[in-house]
Amino acid sequence: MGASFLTPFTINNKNIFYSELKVKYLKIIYKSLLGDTPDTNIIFANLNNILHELTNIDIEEIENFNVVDYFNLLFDIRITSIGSSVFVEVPDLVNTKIELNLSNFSEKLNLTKQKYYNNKDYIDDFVIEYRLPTLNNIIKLNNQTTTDELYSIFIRSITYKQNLIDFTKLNLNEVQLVLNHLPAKITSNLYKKIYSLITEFNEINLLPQLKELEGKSLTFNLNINNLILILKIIFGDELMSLYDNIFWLSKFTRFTPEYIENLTPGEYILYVKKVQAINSTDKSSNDSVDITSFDDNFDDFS
Amino acid sequence: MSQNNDISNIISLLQDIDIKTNFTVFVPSLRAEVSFKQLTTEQLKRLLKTVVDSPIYNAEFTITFNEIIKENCLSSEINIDNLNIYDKAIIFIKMRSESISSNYTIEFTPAEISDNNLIENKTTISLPELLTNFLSRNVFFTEEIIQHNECIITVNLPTIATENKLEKELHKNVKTDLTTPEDLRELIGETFINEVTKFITKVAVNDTVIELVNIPFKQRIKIVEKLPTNLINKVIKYIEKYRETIKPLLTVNITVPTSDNSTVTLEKDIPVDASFFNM
Repeated sequence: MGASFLTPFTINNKNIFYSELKVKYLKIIYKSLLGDTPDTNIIFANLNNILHELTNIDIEEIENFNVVDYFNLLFDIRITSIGSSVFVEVPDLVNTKIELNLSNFSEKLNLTKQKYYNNKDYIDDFVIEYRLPTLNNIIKLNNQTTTDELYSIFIRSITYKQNLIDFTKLNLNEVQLVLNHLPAKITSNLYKKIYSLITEFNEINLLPQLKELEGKSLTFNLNINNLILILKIIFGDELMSLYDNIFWLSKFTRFTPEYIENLTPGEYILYVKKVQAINSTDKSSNDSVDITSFDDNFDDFS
Repeated sequence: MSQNNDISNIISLLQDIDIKTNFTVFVPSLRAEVSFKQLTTEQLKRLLKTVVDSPIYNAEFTITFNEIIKENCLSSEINIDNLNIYDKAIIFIKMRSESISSNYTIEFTPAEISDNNLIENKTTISLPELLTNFLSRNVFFTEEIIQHNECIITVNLPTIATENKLEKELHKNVKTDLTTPEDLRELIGETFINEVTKFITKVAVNDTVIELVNIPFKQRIKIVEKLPTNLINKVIKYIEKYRETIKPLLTVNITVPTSDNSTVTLEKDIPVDASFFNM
C-alpha cells in the first residue's frame, strides 16, 4: 500500500486496514453513480476496485464479503474521510437540509447482523447454519426470483445427522430439490427466521425520526436499487462541482489536477477553504480570482 | 462430518429423511395407530397454494390434502380412500402439529378485541393437548339405517373417496363469482344437496338397491333429490350430530384476560383450510 495513513476495520472477524480515500476515488464513485439509473455492474466493478486499492484485499475476496460487511466498510471509509454526517435536501422542505447519522445506521446494521450471522438452529436431527448474502447474490435478485432462491442466499448449510449439505455450492435446481424434500417443519422455521431478518433490515432507517419526515424512510432494504440510492446519498453526486473545484483550485494555486486528485477529501476541503479565505481578504485586489463557481457545499459532500 | 455435495448422495439422504421423520396417529375407523410421514416442504407449498382457492368450496385444498394423506401413509395395507372425514379431521390436526409446530396461534379480530377489552391480540393453543383431550372422549361413528315407507337409506360419514369425487366432479371448476341473489340461492341449494348426498351411501327401494358410492356424483344427486323430505331431514340430523360431536376438535374455547383484570371466554374455530398450515 505504500506509506499511507491506515485505519483499522474488522471484517469476517479478521482485522484489516484501509488507506485513506482520495479525491480521485471520489471522482470515480461520482462517475459510477451518475444518472437516474446508473449501471449496477459499473458501480460495483469500480467500488470493488477502489476497495481493493484501499485495503489490498483481492477483488475475489471483496466480492465474497456479505452485503452488510461490504456496506459497513464503505460507510466506515466515508465516515473516516468525510465525516459521519450526511446532509440531504428534503424535496418538500425548501432551503432545508436534514442531517443523517451514518455511524448510527452502521451500528444498527452491525447489531442486526450479529444476531443472525453464522447463527445456527437445532431442530430435531437438523442443524441449519445461516449466512448473509453477498452483493452478487443481491444483484441477481429480480421480479422473477422465486422464494426458494431468495431464501437460499441466507442459508450456509444444513446438516442432517453428520451429513452436511453446503448451500453455497448448490445451483438453483439443486437448492429447490433439497428444500422441497426437507420436512416442512424445518423449512417453516427457516423461512420464518429469514423473513424476520429481512424485516429487521427493512426497519433500519437512515432517515432520522423527524415530524417533517413522517411516513418517509430509507431503510437497508436488500434490493439493489435501494442500496445504490443509499450510496448516492452518502457519497453524493457532485461530479461537475468536483471538476469545477479542481479547475479553480489548480488555477489559483500551483497544484496540478493530479496532485489535487491525490489529496484526501479532508485535505482538499482544507485547501479550498484556505483559498476562499485568502481570496475574500483580497477582494479589492486585481489578483483575486472569481471563485463564486466554487461549490460552497462541497465540504459536506452533499 | 461428511460433506455431501454430490447431488445423488443428497437425494438418497433426503429420501432417508423422508421416511425417518414420521409420526403415528390414531385412526378411529380402523381403531388403530397408523404411521404417516411428516409433510415435506414441497407438500406444504402445494397446500399453501390452495389458499387462493375458491372460498366457497375449498375444492383445491380438499383434493390436495387428500392426496397428501395418501402420499404420506407409511402403511401400505391401508386404503386411504376408505378412511372417512372423521379420520381425516384427526390426521389434519396431528399432521399440522407434527409437521409445522405443536403450537397454533389464534388471532383475535379487531371487533373481538374492542368488544371484550382484550389485552392481547392473539393467543397460542397446544394442538397435542387439543387432540388428546378430544380422543379421550372415545368417540366413534357408525352407519345408520333410516327407513321411510318402502325406502331405506344407509347413512354414514363420507369417505375420502367420496369427497374427492364431489370436489373433482362438481366443485373444481365451478363459477364462484356470485353476482345476483339468484346466483346465491342456487349456490346454497346446490351446497345443501351436495352435502346431504355425501352422507348417503346406499338407497334401497323394495328390491332395488343402489350403492351410491359406486356411481358418479351427479347421478347420486339426481337420486337423492327424489328422496322423501322425511328421509332428508333425518340425514340432516345425522350430519348435525356429527358436527356437534366433532366440534370440540375444531372449535376451541379460549379464556383470555381483559383490561379490567377479569377474563372472557371466546369461541374460535380452527380453519379447515390451508391457512392452518401457515406458521
